Amino acid sequence: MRAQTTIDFAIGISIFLLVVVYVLAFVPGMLEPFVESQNQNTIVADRAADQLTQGMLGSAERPFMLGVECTVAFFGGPDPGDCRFDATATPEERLGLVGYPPGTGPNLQVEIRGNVSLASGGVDTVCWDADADQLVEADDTACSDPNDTVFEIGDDLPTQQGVVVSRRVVSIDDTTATVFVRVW
Amino acid sequence: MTDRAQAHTLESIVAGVLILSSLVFALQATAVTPLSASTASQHIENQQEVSAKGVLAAAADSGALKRGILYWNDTENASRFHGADLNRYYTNAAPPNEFGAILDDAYRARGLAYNVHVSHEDPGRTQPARQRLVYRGEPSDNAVTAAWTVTIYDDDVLYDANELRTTTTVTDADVFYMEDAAPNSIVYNVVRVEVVVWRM
Repeated sequence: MRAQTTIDFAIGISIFLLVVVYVLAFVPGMLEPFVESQNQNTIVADRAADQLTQGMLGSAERPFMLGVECTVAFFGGPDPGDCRFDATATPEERLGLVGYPPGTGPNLQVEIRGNVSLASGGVDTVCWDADADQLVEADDTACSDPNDTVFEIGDDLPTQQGVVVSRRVVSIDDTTATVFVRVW
Repeated sequence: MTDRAQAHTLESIVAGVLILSSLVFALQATAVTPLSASTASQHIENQQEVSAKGVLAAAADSGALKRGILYWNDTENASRFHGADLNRYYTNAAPPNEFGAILDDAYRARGLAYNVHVSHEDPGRTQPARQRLVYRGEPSDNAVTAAWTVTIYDDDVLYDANELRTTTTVTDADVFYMEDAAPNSIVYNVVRVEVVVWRM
């Protein structure tokens, strides 16, 4: 006869099955660092924000000071012609994020938000009012003309995906605002 | 019938240990980097540091930084920044001037705390002296710093509580926190404004 009671078998097999189930439950977590991570999007967003705020929309000798005309041209307004980017290209092309082969690059959205009206808690997307030549918030009634430029450009934000955000504090037209560069 | 496999307790424990040890070996071979998605990601600190530089650049460009340094209440029984409490610096709220408004806009709504120090030359000592402008507590281990250098000249004036120029120059001031580091030149002092930012 075998030297094994039923209890012995029960304990043994339950310990073994418990360990096997635990290990199998760990497998998805083990594979996590190896799926396509957000690391490269982090670097892309950081470099794109640096390029915008310290060179493209201002000048490299005065970092974080944005010039009004080129900023308006970047977000779709009239092009003065001497900006450091191609006003006819898409934002991805201007920042060099097209990818190779074309179309495989990341999605991009650039937005500038600020509290222009100085209301408490009123941080909103900033808009350039071409008639009054001043910055207003995007939900202001002065920003409803077709030749006013809302400082937001790029693809629509996804609702079910991780987005990497880079932010920079800048000064436009003597007002401080925050530039958000979102990459996914 | 007597040769079928059996699961004695001891054998199952050994098998379980074998499987668990192979799992542990596989787990410790994976890499967690500073940029892995977590709340301790280096990306967050990088953004805070560059934002602090942007805040200082914006304040320096509009002159608010220099006015914030010279926003001093020079009367004998005050001897502090305008609106500060007994400690001579601001603790509870941002400075009530344009520099404070820029700092507040950038940091208050995001749960970031900041300290602002003014490091100035102290004649007679080799180390610069530090005057606190805003002090919110001891920074955490993940705090970042940005700095900006401002030159104060002998004929710069102090500013009153409404951020308007007074007629008191820094050399005529009675209880100013800085001293003239170069008495034989028109430069009064060279200060470094440091902003330390951390997440609460």
